[in-house]
Amino acid sequence: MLIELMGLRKILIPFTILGLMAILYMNFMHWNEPAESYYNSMYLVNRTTTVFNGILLVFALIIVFLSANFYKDEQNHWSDYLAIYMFAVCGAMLMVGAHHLLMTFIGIEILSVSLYVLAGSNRKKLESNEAGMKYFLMGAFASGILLFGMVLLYGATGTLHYEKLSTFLYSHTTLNIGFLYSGLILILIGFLFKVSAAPFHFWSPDVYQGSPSLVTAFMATVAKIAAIASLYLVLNQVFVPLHHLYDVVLIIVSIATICIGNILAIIQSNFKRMMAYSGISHAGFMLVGILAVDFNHWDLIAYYAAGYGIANLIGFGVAIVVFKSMQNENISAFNGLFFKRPILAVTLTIALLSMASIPPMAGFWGKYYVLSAALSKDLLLLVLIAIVNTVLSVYFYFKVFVAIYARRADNTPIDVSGWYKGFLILLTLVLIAISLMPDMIARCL
Amino acid sequence: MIALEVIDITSNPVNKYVYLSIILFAIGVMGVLMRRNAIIILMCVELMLNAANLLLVAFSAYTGNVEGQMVVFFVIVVAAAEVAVGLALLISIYRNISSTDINLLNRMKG
Repeated sequence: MLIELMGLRKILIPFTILGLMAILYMNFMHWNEPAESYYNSMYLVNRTTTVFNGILLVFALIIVFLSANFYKDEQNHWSDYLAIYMFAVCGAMLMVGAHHLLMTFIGIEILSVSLYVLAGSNRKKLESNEAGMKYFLMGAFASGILLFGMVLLYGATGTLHYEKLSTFLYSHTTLNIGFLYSGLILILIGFLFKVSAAPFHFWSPDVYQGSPSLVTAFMATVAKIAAIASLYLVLNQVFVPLHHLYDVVLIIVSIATICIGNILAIIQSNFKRMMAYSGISHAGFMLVGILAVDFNHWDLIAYYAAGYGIANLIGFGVAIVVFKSMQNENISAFNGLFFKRPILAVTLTIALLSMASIPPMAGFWGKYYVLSAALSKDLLLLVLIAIVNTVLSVYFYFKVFVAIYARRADNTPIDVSGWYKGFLILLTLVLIAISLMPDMIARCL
Repeated sequence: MIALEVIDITSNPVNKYVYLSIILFAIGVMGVLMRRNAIIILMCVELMLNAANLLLVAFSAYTGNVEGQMVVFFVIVVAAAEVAVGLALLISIYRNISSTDINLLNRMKG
């Protein structure tokens, strides 16, 4: 904002990118350091949070790059949009690093309140208003439930700090069971709302479809991965002694999430809505990861999240320019894309192949790791259902391929600048790189 | 740290607050699920957050642990921010459809 007053709008995006890179650098300074805590030990920095925060920061960087093109026509509002994106990233990082349930709650709220604004940011379009309002009502409701769960937990244990909570849960067997169980269930409901898992997924397709495309990309990557990472850390740092209680819930929820996401994605004709359902089913797979992966193998979830997020960002990066030129957000907007813009078509194909988890891609390795962890926990039925659904999911990604390669193109040209194509190619190379050496990456995390 | 195994929800001074806030919370939840006016839903969400605040203060006073009262301040700030954003969204919708009925928000389906 200050920069805008000084008439330096041109350096706004480079400045933001530099700032994010500086934060990324400082984040990775903690790579091999012992765990450190800040703010009266309410915020913890260790290897796990460093990696998840690094992933979120890289995604935020990509979003800022894409925003230069997406908001080209409304340069007056660049500073507002960028500021709100940065607030949201800040909230996401607080969620991941939180070591106190209050910090978790504040992180979730910073992220969500920024996203309510962004979802409704296209004021002239009724769809965007509707998406913002729906997201706001559902999100505020979920935060209320989450907060009440935390309060009941406070009543049962007398603290909200992760470490104190977990020592309390380990050392006391005769707790006030009613408060504790209902608190745990309400906290789980709040988190499942935020990751859009099955019984609480209904907001996500509408919100994804109505929001501006870049905001949808942000919600599908940064917001979802922050919520998954936060849920994983809360469950594994605090509630391990109670895992016999929430394991059953997570098994049922993840089966339902995977099935509903894939089956409803098949009948969609709007690309963003289809991506919303595919994101729901990927959230289901990440929930399987939360359920099955031991705490010292969190790198598998990080790998899944990184592969899913980059593929998603490439997909939306292509979709943004195509939708902008075609004035249409259906899958039919991609008709004949290969003959008009071969580079965009090939990058989109690689991204969607990864999301459909075709073998050599990152999506496949992510699912392979998660499901083999589930197999080692004897969750055979869950794994079978997940594999059947993976096969099903290939169908709706191939609908996009059919549109790209087999349908006849119309004459609308698709404007895209050279550097934008170069950026998408770079992202695709990154995706291929993490696909080709999954073991190595998972090991060095 | 104060262990709270002694809390017995039926014979304890804090239990009246527990009942009261659970009732308030339930009213809030029912309001969100049943009312169709966006402003009333907003008020019901506030009711849910304030039920949580009341319970926090009650637990905190009962155990002599100030952590709960500190949390309440943060929750109040968060609730204020949420209301500000919610009302802004409501105004921009009202400009488009001249109504605050959320049943009219049904342009996207499937």
